Amino acid sequence: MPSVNEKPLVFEGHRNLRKRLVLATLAGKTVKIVKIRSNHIDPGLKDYEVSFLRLLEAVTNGTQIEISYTGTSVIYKPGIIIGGEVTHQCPNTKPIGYFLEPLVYLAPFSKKKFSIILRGLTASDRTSDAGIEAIKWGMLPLMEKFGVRECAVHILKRGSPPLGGGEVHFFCNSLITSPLTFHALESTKISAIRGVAYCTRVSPSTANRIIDSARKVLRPTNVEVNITADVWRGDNSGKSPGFGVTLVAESKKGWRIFSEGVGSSGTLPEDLGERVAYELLEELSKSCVVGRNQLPLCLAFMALGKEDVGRLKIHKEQVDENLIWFLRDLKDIFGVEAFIRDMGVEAVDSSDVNHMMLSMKGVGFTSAAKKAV
Amino acid sequence: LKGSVKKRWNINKLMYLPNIEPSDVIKRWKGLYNDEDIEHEEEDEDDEFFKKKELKNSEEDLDHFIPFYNSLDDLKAKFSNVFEGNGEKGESSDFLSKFMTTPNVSKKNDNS
Repeated sequence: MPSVNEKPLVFEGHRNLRKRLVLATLAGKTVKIVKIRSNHIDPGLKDYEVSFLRLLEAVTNGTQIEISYTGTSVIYKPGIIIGGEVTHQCPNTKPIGYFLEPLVYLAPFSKKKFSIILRGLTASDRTSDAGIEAIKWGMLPLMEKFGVRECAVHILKRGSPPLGGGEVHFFCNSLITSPLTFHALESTKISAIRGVAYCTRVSPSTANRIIDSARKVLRPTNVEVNITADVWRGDNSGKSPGFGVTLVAESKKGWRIFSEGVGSSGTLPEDLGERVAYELLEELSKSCVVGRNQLPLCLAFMALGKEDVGRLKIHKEQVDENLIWFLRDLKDIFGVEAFIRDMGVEAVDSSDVNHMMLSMKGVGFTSAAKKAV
Repeated sequence: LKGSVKKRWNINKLMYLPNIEPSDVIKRWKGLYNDEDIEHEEEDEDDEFFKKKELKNSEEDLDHFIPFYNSLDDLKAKFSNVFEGNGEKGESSDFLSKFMTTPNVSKKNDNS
């Protein structure tokens, strides 16, 4: 809990809004976010951002949120992460993944076990937010590397855009005090590519068409490609027709790199399958141990770790603007700095020319809920 | 100075400097940032002042999850080289052996 006279950390704009709020919640620090879309025609917080703030309020105890009259600034005083059983209706402007992704950061450090039902769109073609499979197959296995094991996501109903009607259950039974120190120094070699092509309220052949086109692209990789069709019918298939695909490249050591896509109106299933398959290959070529979309979670948990240096091998392409923004946020909130250097003597082979080593000392974080006990 | 050797920046020093935007940090680190860019930026700012401001459609992208990819055609071109083994050295021909547990298909064909 933040102290009464604590000076808030000030951030500008809506960049990384969710991550800043989540990190502030973990650190128990008050943040003030100003100039939120202040130059836009429609200024201030969007409906989904307000909804996310309400969700944070629901999974914590004692959180205070002050939103300015215009919505362009917000003061967030986090409480204790309490978890428990919560049901949240997400607006149809953002998919459930937008709300679920940040909860994954909070769940292991909660006082009670997380059991949250989120209702809304299970995927969206208009935004670049996480799909449910991406979280299930990409984020949760990464959390296992930090010692968070009993975490799962179940899709109870699928809800395609625009009307949604989906329902997702997220639970986390693994409550830890702090994440394990992370050492990921090996280059990932992919042994299999798996995936799921799903469709709701359209012909079941749509899923097969996606699978065929994706498989055609991935065949030359010479690894096992296994994509399953997931056809939803009846009441559990939501209110709108839709389709999508998630592909996951797996290594024998349990690292997973993924890509996903959702069909929008006018998209051919073949085009979607082909595009997502090529994006998976592109992601592989620009990743090392973890993908670009897994990097923030990995870094956040490294920062939260015990007072020991964690190491992560990254690809040079992963050092981008988003990474710098996130590292700056970590420094502002936790006071922790990352150190990036070339592989040097630790280089195993010639491919390590493109790789770098990111080291970060954990802050010795203890969950606020555990402190209070 | 024209013709002078470009300075190699240390990413660790750059990335936490509050007066440098993260996009510029990357440019400097990759050696894509010249002193001339600063002059151009100033000119661009003047030009933009008199232009009608366009609304950003991608405003939500500041809090995105899925990375941005090149167009499908670009990706196709890149990976057609990879699988045929005729791409640029160090990038394409070694792709399969680098990332997949199975041996490179093209090498296998050569041996046979």
